[in-house]
Amino acid sequence: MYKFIGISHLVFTVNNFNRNIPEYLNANFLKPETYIFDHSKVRKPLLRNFSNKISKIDLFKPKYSHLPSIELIESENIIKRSKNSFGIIDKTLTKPFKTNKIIKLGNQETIKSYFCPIMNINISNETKIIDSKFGFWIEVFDFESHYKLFSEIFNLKCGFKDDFIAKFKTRAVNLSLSPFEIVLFRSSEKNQFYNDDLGFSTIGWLSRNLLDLKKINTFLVTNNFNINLNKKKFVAQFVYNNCLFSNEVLKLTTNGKN
Amino acid sequence: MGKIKKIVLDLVKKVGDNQNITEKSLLLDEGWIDSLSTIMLLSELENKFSIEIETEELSHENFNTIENISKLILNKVEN
Repeated sequence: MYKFIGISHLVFTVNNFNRNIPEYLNANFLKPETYIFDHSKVRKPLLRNFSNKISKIDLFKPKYSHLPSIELIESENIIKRSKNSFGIIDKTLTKPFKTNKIIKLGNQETIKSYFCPIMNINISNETKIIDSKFGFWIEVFDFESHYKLFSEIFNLKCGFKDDFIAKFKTRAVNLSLSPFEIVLFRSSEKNQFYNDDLGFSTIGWLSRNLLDLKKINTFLVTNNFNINLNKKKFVAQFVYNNCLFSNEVLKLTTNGKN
Repeated sequence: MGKIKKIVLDLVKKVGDNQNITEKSLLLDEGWIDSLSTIMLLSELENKFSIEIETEELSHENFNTIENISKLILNKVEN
């Protein structure tokens, strides 16, 4: 049984963000820590363009207790994910963020959102689709495959499911270990997006153990690789199918070994 | 309970890499340990007391004070 603790960070693939940090991040997150990793060997099958093989990362830790960390990773690609098919729900979002963009939430509800062009994401504070202060929604073509991944492999609690929507509860791994909800909508639109395409690209998970599977339904699991962040050492693996977003599973270690 | 508290405090000092932490410290609220150190503490506690702490029990309430961590441990050791 896999023991997933919660969401460590959300990853957005961006162009040229160093010159213009998104105002949502400026308002709600601390100044970023910058890291450069070469995980090209394991990331190769996740990339559309191998020129993005070096991971140039800015990690934004939250100022407020309900938020997860957010990571921006640079890419030279120009292909953008379908921006209206996913978004952040931040119920504390207030002025000066103008929620003047009207979008359909999973073809079920019309909501107003603030659109962040650099992160290529909608951020809404008005939907009642989640109970917590923070979460995100995403429309997926392989709905059942994602449902099984989250419920049976990641062991997330599913609070609601029907043929079109599944709601999961987990936590953000921050100082308050705050509630975090994920809402999956079934989509009829089949996409192929790689990790280096622009927009919401990866969910980072902290787990107490790593997956020992190589394939889970439509998903493949990469070999393990090491990440060092300051004094903290992790072993990690990607779970991916290059349809919309990937999952990065991290296990904290004290010695960099499994 | 007193013995458990002392062991917990020593483990918290170790993962927080800070000898100034006391039994009264609000570990998370006052920033003595960060979220990743909390996860390291979880493993240390499991190893030290030969117990299993469920992921659901990793909460702000359970891990913000030495007192509450110790209560969690005591409850598991006794059961």
